[in-house]
Amino acid sequence: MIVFNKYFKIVKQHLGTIIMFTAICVIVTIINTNYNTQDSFKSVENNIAIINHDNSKIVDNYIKYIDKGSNLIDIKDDKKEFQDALYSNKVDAIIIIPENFTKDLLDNKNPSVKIKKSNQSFSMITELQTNKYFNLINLYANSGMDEELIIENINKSLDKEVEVKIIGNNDLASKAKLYMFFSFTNYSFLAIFIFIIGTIMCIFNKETIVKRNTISSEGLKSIYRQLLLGHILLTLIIWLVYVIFSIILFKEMMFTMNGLLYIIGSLCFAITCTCLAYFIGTLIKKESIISGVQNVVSLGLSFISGSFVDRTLLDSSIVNFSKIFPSYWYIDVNYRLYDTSTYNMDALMPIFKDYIIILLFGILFIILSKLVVKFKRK
Amino acid sequence: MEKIIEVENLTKYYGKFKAVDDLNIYVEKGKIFGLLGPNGSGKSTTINCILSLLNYQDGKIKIFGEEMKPNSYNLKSKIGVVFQDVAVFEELSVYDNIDYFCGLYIKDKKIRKKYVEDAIKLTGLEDFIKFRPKQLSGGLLRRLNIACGIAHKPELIFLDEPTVAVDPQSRNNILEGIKKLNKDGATIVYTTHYMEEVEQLCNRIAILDKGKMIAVGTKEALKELILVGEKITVETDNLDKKIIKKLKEQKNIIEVKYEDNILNVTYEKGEENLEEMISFLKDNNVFYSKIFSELPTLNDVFLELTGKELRD
Ligand SMILES: Nc1ncnc2c1ncn2[C@@H]1O[C@H](COP(=O)(O)OP(=O)(O)O)[C@@H](O)[C@H]1O
Ligand SMILES: [Mg+2]
Repeated sequence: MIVFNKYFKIVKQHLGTIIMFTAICVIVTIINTNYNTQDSFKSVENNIAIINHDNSKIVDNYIKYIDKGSNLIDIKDDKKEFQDALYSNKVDAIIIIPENFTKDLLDNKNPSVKIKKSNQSFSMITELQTNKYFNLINLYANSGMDEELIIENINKSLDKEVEVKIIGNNDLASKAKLYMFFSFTNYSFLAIFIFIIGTIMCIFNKETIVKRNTISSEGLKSIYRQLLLGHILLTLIIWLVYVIFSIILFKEMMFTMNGLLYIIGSLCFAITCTCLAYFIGTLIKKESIISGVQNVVSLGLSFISGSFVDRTLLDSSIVNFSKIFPSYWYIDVNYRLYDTSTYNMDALMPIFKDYIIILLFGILFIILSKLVVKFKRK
Repeated sequence: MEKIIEVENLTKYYGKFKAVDDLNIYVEKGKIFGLLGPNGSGKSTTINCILSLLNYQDGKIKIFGEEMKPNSYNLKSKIGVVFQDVAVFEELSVYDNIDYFCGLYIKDKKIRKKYVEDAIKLTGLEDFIKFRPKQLSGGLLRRLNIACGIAHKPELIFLDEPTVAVDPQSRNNILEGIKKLNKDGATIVYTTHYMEEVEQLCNRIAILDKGKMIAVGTKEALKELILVGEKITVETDNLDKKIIKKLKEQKNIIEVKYEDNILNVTYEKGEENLEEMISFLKDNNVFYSKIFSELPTLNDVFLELTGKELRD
């Protein structure tokens, strides 16, 4: 296992870079945590516009509920108008309630309201309130109550919540931070894995080293198997470090269903990043261009997939384009986790589907690598 | 004598370019075999063919009586190779580099530790074991490359131009190290374009030019191949043309040159001629400041066989 043994000695030489990216991720999360204390939630009222295509008592009641904690702003129902309002910070979020929303909700069809946000951290609160409200409705509707009764009950339980609002807000804030932390791992995983695995592959693919390994009695197959083992162990170690940081930052939140699903998502993404790094490693010959490739891929994918900027702020063609990369689906998982508070089958299925899509990308990268190697041999 | 390497009719093309042309050589057990030739004469190509790292168009190659295949691990374990291009890991220390390459052959940690230490001692790298390759001078880097190639104590060692661009101290260390490896029982194939090295080191020598072997044998045998023998050089001012003419009429002399107050006389091979020359100069009242004699070198052999100097 001499190759495996020296693999980690080589990794040790690049520990600084790994620590740097991890530190960035943790620091960004901590800064955000301190910035958005509960006070700032209380003192800042969001400017919210609601575009209502569905006239029902439940929706009217919802608007009243949102009105309590935010300033309602009137804007025209027009796409261009939305974008202008968001960019000029006239509104922090626009909530669009589709036609037949209430009917679908009561029929248990899981409809959703569209939320366009400009400022992630502030408007997240509105978003979470919205989700909570409609989740509760769903719960009551399932127990067979009619519209009137639902409204009565929901107002009661939301009134009760006012008393624990500070705690509740704090909870919401942490939830948003959790989402931020894991969304940021999209960048740090891509950066770290492309850098370290790409570098190690370049080192072992150098012509002089390959020649030297070929004439040794170890056998190339065994050497590449040991390298693979190194990649796998390295991936797990780095992922585990991030899990430990998430536990330090978010404590018991990580031991809920929600936290667990975040952790599983990050593992899937870490594996796929390793596969992508492996693919890139087969394409690159020179160690010197790795950091360039690493920056382009990690920053690029993080921007277009909504890891740095909220998706609603991005042009829809960019968002659609980003679907051909695993980052889109990873951010998708994290967003769903942030968006969901009850975990029934309906909520879990799309999350699992995203996990599988992320892992399929991993398999695709491995197949592509094999093709490249075959092509190169010819 | 047991033949450890046998190469018959090896021919290798790179595209349309013939890099090795119908080469026949063998290497005997326990000997140092030299492949001498200028840059581009096909030395590295020959070694890569012997090691099955390159495909060749024609010929038969056997090492230890076998044909080398990608999975001939038993065969590979008996061979050590020091390639012309340094193959080390920039990220690993001197010690770890040697340990890595030794570890490709030797699994037992205790034995390996001893072997690595032996290789460090042989190449004189004791003071540098924690250095990274980047911190080493050219000569030390070459020595590290050698240590990595021979640490597993192979029976057969290939060294491809291990002394290119190396300071004199490292060169001596390398040559002494190779002699020691040979004394300890290793068979050695040594390529170079420095004739002094093969003269000093090798039992048998093959001279290559443009992919063709133009001569093979012991250095004495190679020198027998050519017409020229001793060369005598005399430093003397204002030599009379008559004396030069007279000198040319002496027996055994092939060529007389007089330029910039230096007289060069080339003899046919055979007896020593210095005494005769001195008495000739005395008889003709020629005063000189310096006189010395040189025996033919492999460079003369190369010059006579190819019409050009060994070194470009
Ligand atoms: N990969 C290659 N492709 C094409 N030509 C090559 C290649 N390698 C070597 N050559 C040519 O083959 C000849 C012999 O090269 P080489 O064996 O490296 O010589 P030496 O080791 O004696 O300096 C040279 O003319 C060189 O240019
Ligand atoms: Mg060469």
